[in-house]
Amino acid sequence: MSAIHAMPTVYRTLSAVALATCLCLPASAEEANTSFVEDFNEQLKVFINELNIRVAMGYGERSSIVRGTDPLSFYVLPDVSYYGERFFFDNGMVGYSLKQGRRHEVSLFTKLNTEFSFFTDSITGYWFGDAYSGVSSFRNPSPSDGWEDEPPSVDNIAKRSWAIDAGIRGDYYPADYTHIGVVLSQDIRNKHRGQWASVMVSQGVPTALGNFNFKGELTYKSQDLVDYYYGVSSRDNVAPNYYYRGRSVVQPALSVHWQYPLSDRLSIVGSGRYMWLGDGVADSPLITKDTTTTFFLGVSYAL
Amino acid sequence: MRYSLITILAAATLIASNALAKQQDVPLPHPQVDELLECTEPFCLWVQPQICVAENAPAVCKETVSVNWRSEEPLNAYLAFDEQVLACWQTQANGSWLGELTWFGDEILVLFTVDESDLTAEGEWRERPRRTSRQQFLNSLDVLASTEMQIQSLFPKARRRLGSPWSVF
Repeated sequence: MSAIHAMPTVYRTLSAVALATCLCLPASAEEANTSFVEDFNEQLKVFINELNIRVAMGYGERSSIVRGTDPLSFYVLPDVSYYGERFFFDNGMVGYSLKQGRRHEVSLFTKLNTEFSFFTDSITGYWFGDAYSGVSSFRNPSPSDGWEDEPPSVDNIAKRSWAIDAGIRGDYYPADYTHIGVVLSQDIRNKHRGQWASVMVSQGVPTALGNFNFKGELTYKSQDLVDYYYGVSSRDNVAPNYYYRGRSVVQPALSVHWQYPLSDRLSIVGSGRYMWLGDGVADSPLITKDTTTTFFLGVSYAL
Repeated sequence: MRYSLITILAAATLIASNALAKQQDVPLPHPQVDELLECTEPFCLWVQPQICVAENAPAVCKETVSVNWRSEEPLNAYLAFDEQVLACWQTQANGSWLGELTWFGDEILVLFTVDESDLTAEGEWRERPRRTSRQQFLNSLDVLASTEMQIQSLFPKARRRLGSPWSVF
């Protein structure tokens, strides 16, 4: 591995005439000898007006937190992005950049709220938004004792719908491989009618053993959002002693992503994420844990 | 004092001569004589180079840049790049600066004048409060001349990815 260059770009000052000459020259030796670090730097960027599709195959799992669900297993992980000058699509997030600077960007965006994914243990259910069948919104007391004394689970609660959020995000890049993001977001589908806000810091670390990316996040979720998904009330088919009103939470999360390039298109990828749910969520009788973990290990192919 | 007409001379010959100089590792400190003669305005600024060619992405230029200026009347002039003051001249009719600059394609090299009242007893510029944007910074100055430092990229334009790769949950 070659030494880390503070500035990997090769540049040359040329006149207009020299520019024309340069275009006809073969790639310089430096350019041909792309280092690990340069590759890594390029991974953090995308060429505009190009569709980037990567598919990873392997095994991944996210622990279950909602009673009645099994851990969510997945074998294929897509990574799709398209960036124009200002428009962008990135893994389900669609946005438009209002302000673009050398080290910062301010954008409006809309994205699927993934909270409902905790209510499914089937990846197809997740992709198609049909998290689980749910039950009727009407009370259904059993004829004998009024209520079955079963704790709330995905089998006896009303269906939680998927939501679409929209908001504004600010992204700041104070140094190479460092990304600081701030996001403010609001439900626009009138489902949870709540807000969430998040602050994250990620740091890329290129090493001889592959490229690592460490990320820390703090996400605030408003009471309305938490209550819609994790609150238990008369909409659910459970005894009133299980009723629970969700409270706003701040959820810290740590994640690490690892990528080891095998060739131009093939890489080994691995990632892990650990998130604390916060008392407002974890205290819900629907919830069986107070943290959730996600991991994936596989081989990715860039189309 | 404000000059109404500003001339920035950045003829291809200048840049070509600079490219020649780069080969010999001796940047030319001054515009050539015929370029100086071409200056018929009250104020002239020469910057070389103003443009560089980036062969790789991301497009970044780090160059030794030569700046020369000439005025009909002596003045207090300040040279700033990307809101940072690089050099200052007190009651001078011309000046030159040579140094390394790094630019990403939209930075402004600006020469501005400062009123006597904005100078300290030692002749230093009493720095104004930091402005929130480049435009505000430029608006707050009595600009003599300015030029944008440009990049010609041989690669498709790239931008930073905002979302995290593989983040589907």
